Amino acid sequence: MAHKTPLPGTLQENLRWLKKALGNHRGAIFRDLAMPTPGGGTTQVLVVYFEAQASAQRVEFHLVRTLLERASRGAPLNLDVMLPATIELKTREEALEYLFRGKVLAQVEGDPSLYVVELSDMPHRDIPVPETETGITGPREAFTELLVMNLTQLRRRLPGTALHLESTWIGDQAPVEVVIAYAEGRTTERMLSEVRRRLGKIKVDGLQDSGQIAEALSDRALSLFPTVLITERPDTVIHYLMAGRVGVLMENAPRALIVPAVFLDFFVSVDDFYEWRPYVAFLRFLRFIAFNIAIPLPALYVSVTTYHLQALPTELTTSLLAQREGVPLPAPIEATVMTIIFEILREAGVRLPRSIGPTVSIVGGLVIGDAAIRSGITSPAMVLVVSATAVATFSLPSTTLANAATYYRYGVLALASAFGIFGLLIGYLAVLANLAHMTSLGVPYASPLFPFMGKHLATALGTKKRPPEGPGARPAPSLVQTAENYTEPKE
Amino acid sequence: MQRWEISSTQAGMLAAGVVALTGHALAVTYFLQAGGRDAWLSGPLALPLGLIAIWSYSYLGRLFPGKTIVEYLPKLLGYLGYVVAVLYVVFLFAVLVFTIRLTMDWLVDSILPETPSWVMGFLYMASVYYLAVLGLDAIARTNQFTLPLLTVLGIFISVASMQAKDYRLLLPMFEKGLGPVFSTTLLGLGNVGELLVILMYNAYVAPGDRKKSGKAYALALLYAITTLTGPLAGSIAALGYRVAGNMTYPTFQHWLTVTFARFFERTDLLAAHQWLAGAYVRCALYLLMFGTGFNQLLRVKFRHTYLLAGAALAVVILSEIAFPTRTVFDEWVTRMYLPASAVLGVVLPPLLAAVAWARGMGRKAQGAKTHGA
Repeated sequence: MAHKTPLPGTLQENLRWLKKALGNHRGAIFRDLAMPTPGGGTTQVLVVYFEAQASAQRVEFHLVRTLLERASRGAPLNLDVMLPATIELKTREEALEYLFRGKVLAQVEGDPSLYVVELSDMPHRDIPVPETETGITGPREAFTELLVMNLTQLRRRLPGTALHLESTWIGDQAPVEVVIAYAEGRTTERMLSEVRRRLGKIKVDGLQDSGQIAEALSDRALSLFPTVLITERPDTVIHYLMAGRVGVLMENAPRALIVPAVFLDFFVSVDDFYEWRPYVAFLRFLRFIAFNIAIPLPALYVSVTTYHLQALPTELTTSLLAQREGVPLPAPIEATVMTIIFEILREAGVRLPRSIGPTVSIVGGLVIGDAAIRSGITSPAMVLVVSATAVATFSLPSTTLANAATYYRYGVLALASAFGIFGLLIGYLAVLANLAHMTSLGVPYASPLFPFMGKHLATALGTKKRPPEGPGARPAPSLVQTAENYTEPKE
Repeated sequence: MQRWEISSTQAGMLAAGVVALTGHALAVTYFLQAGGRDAWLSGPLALPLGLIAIWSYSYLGRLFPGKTIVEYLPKLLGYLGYVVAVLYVVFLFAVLVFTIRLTMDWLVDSILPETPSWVMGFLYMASVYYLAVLGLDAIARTNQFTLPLLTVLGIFISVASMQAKDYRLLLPMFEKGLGPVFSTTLLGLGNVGELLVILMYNAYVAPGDRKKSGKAYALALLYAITTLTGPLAGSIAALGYRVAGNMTYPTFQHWLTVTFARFFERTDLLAAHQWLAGAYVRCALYLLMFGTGFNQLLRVKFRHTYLLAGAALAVVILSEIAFPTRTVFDEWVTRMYLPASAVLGVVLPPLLAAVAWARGMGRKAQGAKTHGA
């Protein structure tokens, strides 16, 4: 897009150039109209658009009929005055770009300017119901692939001047509009500059989904813990914008990104914004417990049954040993195999159509599990441990966090298999160190836990009153603003 | 210089987190052997000198803001300063050897008798190295999570094992005169002396927070004294000073007396958490500060990734081969390690502060500040 070529100029020259430029593109419609004038003559009008990208009905009604009516009265055919949202074009490149984005190009004979008219009607879905972030309470609207519709949803929820939407384009071959959303006074200039800088560094031909830019917004691309929050809900985006975060929305992407995202954000479910606070705090506590079960439970079971049987009461030890009698695999390998089988079942359930998915879960979970115990391939206690781990994983609201838990589970299991409780603790300490070191756009990932920020911790745990400030009161500093003091100095 | 930055709260918590392990786990038996029934007095008696030491840390920190002791010792003492700086850097390394040797011995004795200690030492130091390489900020944040958890579990065990304790066993006091009390207090000062690591990392406390760090360190000292006195008194109350003194890990016995209903016969697995999590932050901090001090001493800029890896490996090897028997190790701890800690951490810093004051450095610093203002 660096080289800009001026438009040829007259209507006939522009028509020739456009026909040549769009020769191979199916669906390009050229309408060279002769508008009768009161004097018996005609005025030529050129209208160019793509079939099904611009609305033929709207072209006919808003453009052609208006032009005909004015021409018949002898009124001047000034496109920029007649029609709203009309832009005068200067270069061939921008003319083609607008055309491909569903806009209509029009030029009147005698007027040297080619105009773009906003009559696009790109095919799109209606506002859908959230599919992956379902909740019992709260709004039931999700984003679509149409950026303008998504931005409208945000504006509807946060009218006024507080909501800022900054537009930028990413991609060389097929530039895509990306919008940075933030609430005035809630975030910091450093944060905004950092988001702009990271988006500006993306060099790709084109983008299909916002997930592709999530990596560019992460502080460490290979981190197992997620540092970018992805949501399909406009209400969630507004909640986070008001909490000082920055939203990133993209054309063709039904999911918005929210940065910075800290560890405790991934324990927030959509209902948490609307439910009774004490209940929310309780649920978040449960999810935190679930996370702490999802990673170490198989490792703890293996280490206790393999290395530290003395920690269990004699009756339980006897029972566990009796169960394991005849099981062909040692406990570490049995645990690894069982967790891998569980992952395969989960993957099968996700990939299959919805009507068949639950069947796989039933066959896998109940039939195969029961058969495996009866045939002596695995012990009931191991099935219980793996199932409890699976349930704990499913209770996490964020799939990215659940995936991280899965990776860490295997690492900790390997260490515990080799070194018992010592290996398990080494793994736990390494995860802790990783959490302590990570940042999301410079904000400590484990904040407000460590570094400790008491007020924000109350919000993160769901115990703080919502909304965070009373009517007319000044808003309390957001986590992002407080974390400015903790931003790591760069080497 | 690395551009780490920690708050005064994090600095205080680090000090509390890294020295408490010696008092309540690593060196309990040495205190009991030296002090007998009066060993628990070593903490309270070490407190006044400890407070003077903490004051001198703050004073030196104010005189040389943003500088570690290795950097400002030559300014204070000239060429002699380099020699003393070498002692400090060597001591930072010695803390690692002391901790790893005892931790691995305990693991072999109590948790994993079949696994060779060098294998566990290597794995543990690899994990410690990972945290150290992540930097001072990461160590401080990890400590902010582990320290409260360790404290809560520590309080739990002290309360839960109350049934087995008889505090009348602490009496009579001074039964054998002041000799044992004096001996154990010297060792107690050795425990307090480990706080000398503050003289290294105080340089990285955020400038706006430096004024508050003195109070944070004083609180850390109180925490260290409490975690020294409590477990010592508890061990004597639970086992009697003779039995406890003959045990290698008397505080560990407290965990063996506690059961969780019918589910866990023994809670010593939680003791493993206490020990390993406590030693983790401690070792990472000393390893990082050793690397920093080493670079500053030799005025080189070895990358921490390589330098700390080499140091970690050396710690494992030395802790395995330097002390052929436990007796040799115990002698090294009581005759060299703890006394050296007391000298470098408690005796020397006030003297250094006095030298600085005598040479007018405090007045110069104050003058420069006033002039600058």
